[in-house]
Amino acid sequence: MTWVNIAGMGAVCCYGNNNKGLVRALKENRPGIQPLTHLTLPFDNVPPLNPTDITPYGEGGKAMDAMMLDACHQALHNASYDTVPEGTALIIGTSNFMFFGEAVNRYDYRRDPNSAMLAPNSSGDVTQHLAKAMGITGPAYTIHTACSSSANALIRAREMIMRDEAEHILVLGAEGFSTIALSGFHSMMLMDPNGCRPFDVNRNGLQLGEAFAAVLLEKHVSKQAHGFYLNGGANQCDIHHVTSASPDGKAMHTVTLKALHDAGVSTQDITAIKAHGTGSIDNDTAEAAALNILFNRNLPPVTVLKRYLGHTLGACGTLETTALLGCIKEGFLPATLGFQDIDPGLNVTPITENVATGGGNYLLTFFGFGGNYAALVVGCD
Amino acid sequence: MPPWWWAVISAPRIYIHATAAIGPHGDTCTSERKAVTSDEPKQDLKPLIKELVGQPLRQASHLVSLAVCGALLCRKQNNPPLDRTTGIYVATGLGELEKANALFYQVMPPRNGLASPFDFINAAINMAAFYCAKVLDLESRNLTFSHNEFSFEVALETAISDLRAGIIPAALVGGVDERSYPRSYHEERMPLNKDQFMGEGSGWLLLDTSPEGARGEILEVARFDRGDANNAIAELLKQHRMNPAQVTLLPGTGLNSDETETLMKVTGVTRKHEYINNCGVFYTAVSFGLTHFCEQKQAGVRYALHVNHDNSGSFIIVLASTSS
Repeated sequence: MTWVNIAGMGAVCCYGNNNKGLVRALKENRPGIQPLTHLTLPFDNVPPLNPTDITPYGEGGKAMDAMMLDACHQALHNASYDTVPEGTALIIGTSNFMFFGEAVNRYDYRRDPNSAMLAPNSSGDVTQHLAKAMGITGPAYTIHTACSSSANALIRAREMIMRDEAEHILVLGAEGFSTIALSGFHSMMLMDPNGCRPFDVNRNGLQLGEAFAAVLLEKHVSKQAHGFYLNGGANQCDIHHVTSASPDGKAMHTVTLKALHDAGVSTQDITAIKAHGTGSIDNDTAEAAALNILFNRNLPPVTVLKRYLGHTLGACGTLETTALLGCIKEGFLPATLGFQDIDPGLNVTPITENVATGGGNYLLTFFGFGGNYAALVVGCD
Repeated sequence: MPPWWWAVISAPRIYIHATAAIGPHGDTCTSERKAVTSDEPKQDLKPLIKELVGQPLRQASHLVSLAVCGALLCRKQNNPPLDRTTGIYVATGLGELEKANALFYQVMPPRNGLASPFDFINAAINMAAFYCAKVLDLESRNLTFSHNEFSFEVALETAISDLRAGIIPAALVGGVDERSYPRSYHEERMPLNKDQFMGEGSGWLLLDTSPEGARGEILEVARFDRGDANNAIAELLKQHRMNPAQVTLLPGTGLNSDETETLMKVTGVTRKHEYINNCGVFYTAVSFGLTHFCEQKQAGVRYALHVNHDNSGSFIIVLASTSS
């Protein structure tokens, strides 16, 4: 029997660069909203954001590299490895590397205002550079599926291990802030000026975050006590609309159901749900519909992490998995910050206080632009 | 007997049921292919989109249009309707350049303005995969991969793995990349020799595990270390009991002429298919190359051997057969 062990996790996010600090913040229900200091945005009334503190990492592309490397090294050390195991593969999940290109260009521009403004180097360049810096000799590539990118990278990595294509895979979710992305979301009027209010009746949009989070998966032939295992996952495309989900939640329901089947569990086996819960009117409506179909309107505890961490787009798959598992390890599910008033149309009431928890299976959902949906089932004995 | 033995002999075989490609001239079939002799200006795909989709795709970028045209041409080659759960695997080396450039122009100095919402949405690299799913009405696995020289091969590898695992009934695997201007900027993203021209296009394979009506088969996708790649590839051909005279080499964009010559000498393969002449240089050009090879059936030639390497020292090969 093959099991896919979540051997190590690491993150650079709005709470700093260690798992303990991240879990402590969630335990204390402390929002991760921070002032944005490393970018000047081309619009006023900047909504709440969750940037990382870039200062210790330097400037430009080097800072982006350093944050990605930090997250990867944390995951390795967390798994008690000093160096990358032989044959390890690297899969990066990101919506795109525009943030990297912008960082490089802005750095160059500050030194030479005549420098050309070039869109980023290829994803392959960034990935190969990172693989080389880590000493990774296995396959290294990038998956781009918008906000489900690193969740899909985890799914692909799990399948590679289950199918004997690799024994160790480092999955990195990477999403730096850029004025391009922030002004893009601003132009689309998708950010809530009051911050993320997941499943709340007054929800009004996203709260964006920046993060680099890595998860090391490895093959186990038997389960270890207190270990975390990626038991299943699924990916599905919703062709309803490029930016909005099918309101009936049908495609979201399909992906969650497929994930449960893949994990060999039923809804009764799910201890709790880490919902995507962007706080946008349409997404939360569709997700609520999907969860209600799946659980026949009898949902287990639901928590949402976006008010803590921000919506870290392509990185949310690995970041929210890291954050959730860190909390479970400490014996609690974090309260959903930002949720206050029930939306009577949704039948989803996220937990508003920390709840004690332990072993079991947890369902994690991730939904992105381009109708790209992913769901994970993580188990803990 | 090694433990993987049963998995190897019981793994379903992967058959090619359709291939199609759109090239840098808007060419969609053998009779329309022609040599690329310059860095040509951007092609207008709107008429072809209207013909294939039946209506304009108003929000589609050039990259998306290339992908959609290729995917629809591939679907047209296949008589039975596609199962709605057919997976889509898109590969792109450089991703969305037109919209990314537009965003840089709008937001970066000296303009420091706001991003256009339309350009912002379309700059997401998975838009090509979404629009392909939309026009083909496929609600299934939908993934976009990027890895410079190996982008298409990684997508193909994943699709084969998923087909063998039985989680999808069929897979549409496509490679797509676009040119960007001026050439000097494009070269910042993808190195080109002086005698090479910027290429673009989109090539697609429809794969499943049924031999019925198949036009070919993917026999192998394998990786090798640079050290002894040539000998390992020669050994692989022997394992497949292939007569090198029946094999045509499709050199990848990463292989230079010396490397190609050495490889041919070591493997005994004497024919090569220079598809780059017809599509120009782009990271996912092999997707065009495999289609072009299938279009140009030569008497006695049954096997296509695609070989490529990246700048990290890894080789990858795709070995395919066409039905005689």
